[in-house]
Amino acid sequence: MEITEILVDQNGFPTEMFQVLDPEGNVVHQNLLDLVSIEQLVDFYKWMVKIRIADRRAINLQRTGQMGTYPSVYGQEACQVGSGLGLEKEDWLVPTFRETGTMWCFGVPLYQTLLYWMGNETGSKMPEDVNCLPIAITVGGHLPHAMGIAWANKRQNKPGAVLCSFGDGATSEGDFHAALNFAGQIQTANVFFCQNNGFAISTPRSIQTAAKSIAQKAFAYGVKAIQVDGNDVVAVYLAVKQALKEAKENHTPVLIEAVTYRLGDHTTVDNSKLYRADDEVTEMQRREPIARLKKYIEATGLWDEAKEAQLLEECKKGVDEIAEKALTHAKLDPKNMFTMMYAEMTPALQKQHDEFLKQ
Amino acid sequence: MAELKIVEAVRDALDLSMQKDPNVILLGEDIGPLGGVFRATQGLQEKYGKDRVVDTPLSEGGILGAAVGLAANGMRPVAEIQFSGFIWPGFDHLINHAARMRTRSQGRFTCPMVVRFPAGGGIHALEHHSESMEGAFAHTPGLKVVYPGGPYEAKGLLLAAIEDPDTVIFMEPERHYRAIKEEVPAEYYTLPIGKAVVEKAGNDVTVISYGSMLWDTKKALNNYLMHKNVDVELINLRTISPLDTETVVNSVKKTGRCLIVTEEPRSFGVAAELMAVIQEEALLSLEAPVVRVTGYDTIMPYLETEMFYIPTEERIIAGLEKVLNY
Repeated sequence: MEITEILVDQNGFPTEMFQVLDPEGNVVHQNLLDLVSIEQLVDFYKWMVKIRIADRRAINLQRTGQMGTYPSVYGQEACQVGSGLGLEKEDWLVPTFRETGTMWCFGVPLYQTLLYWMGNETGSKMPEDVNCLPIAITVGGHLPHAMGIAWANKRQNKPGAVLCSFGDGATSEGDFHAALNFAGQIQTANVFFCQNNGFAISTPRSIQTAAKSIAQKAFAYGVKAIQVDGNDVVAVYLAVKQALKEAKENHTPVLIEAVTYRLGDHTTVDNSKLYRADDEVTEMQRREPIARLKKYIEATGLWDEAKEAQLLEECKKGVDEIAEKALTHAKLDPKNMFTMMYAEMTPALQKQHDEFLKQ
Repeated sequence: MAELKIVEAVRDALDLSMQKDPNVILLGEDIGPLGGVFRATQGLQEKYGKDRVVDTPLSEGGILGAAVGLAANGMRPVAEIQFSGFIWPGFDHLINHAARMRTRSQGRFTCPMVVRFPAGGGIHALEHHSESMEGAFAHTPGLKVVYPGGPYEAKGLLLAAIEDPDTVIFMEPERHYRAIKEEVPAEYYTLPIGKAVVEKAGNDVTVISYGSMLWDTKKALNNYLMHKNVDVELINLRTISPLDTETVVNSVKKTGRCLIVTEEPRSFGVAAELMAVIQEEALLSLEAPVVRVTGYDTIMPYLETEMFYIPTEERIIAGLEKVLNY
């Protein structure tokens, strides 16, 4: 199989998930694995470990009352690293809310994401040189925005494609239909990246749609698609790269369905034991993304226990420093809620602002 | 100076804004070769091309969602929603995204977009074609709501709305699209958003209206004042949000009496907000309770009975006499 063959249109219905490394770390497509350098493989691994440690730290911050509700990315590290590192600087990321890793890989400082979940809007003020919309909490609502951003790029001859991430639940929203339909019809450089993690809170993927796959929905919109093993970071990375290339060169939107599994709860206020069996989770643990890549890089001599110990120590220290930065960040001045509503405060807001300050 | 109808003034504003700013893009249903069901965009696709006057797939959610993305990435989208009642599938993008983008991103991204649609009833159209829901938009923090009455202000306010750095809901008086003609300057000009205008100064009673009802109110007053000696001050709000409370309060302080005429459902609406502001700021000047003549708290009836919903001349005059004779 060649890389140019992985995306399919309605004439080439996908029959199996795209995979480069299987769950045991065996190579499925050596020629495709060769498209990724040894340094990149190690980098993917380091990022996934780093994200898992950051994710645990975030849960810990919530549990200790230092942060609000937090949606864990546990189990989805390959999706996050594969998409986040697949993007170029000129591209856009339009994220859903379970994107701690993707945003970090793309250049959004982790302390900002933590600050966001601590309830400070400053966390959503993306750096000027990072084309990333703030986290979208409304499920699926951000898909048409991603289409509009790509449309503006096309109108203004700006380079770059727009990767919009969302979960399997979002594909049931009308906005999923509207966004793919508009993108297909207007021919915008969009990559719709669905992390099908099996659940929308408690609702399993099987309840979202009678369709055999989410990927196949693309064909109804004249959009290309690929279904990829979302726990295989190399496969995700290559799929994202190829989709971005296709989008940029041909203004052809692509839908990627990355099949993964949410190993953690929906958020820190969820209890997934109420709706799924332990056996299922244990089986999915066996297929999780980090162990798979570790097996491969260990087997090929790129990685060993000494490097692992050093990485864990560095990550822990680094994440602790970042958490501290978020925890000690200046609180948002509450008058900001009045001053940020419009370019200029309306007379009514000005009055309320002044009343507030007098309290 | 040429005399233009409201729909022609709207088209003129769209034309001039597209000439001036290459980032202005029109999107909507049937706005291309057809020129929109009311012809507000007639000839514009021919002039500016299919990439700038875009017939979209039939999806208000798609139109307004795409507009959010276009605006956040440097464009100036002007979306047309075909009829007022069809906007709601896209309302999520207004209330949850366009209105919040500036705050959410702390100024990193904004949504300078305009959403135009015909509002109000009286053209014997189908269900969902005749609503006056300005109160719902005005109640949404982060949006601005403009509802001009005549051609001159429709042009100046639409050009201001397209220049505005925030999201503007632009309601157009549907039943007066072709009924009103005014002299309209040919050149590019803007009128300030958030400023009401005193159409006629007076000392006895303040009458406030806007949009379609402005014309019904003017007609009722003209007929009444032919044989009654009342010195009416007539205020045309032009903008619903931000509300020009200064003009309203100053007027009521002078006259001591106020009648509000709107087409919206009565409860929780623009008239209710005006009454609240007046009692907060001009209570001691009032010589009578403020009276509102509005639509009812009903859905807009079908065409057979819609004229019973829209305030009639009789209801407007009854309201005026109530506030005068208290």
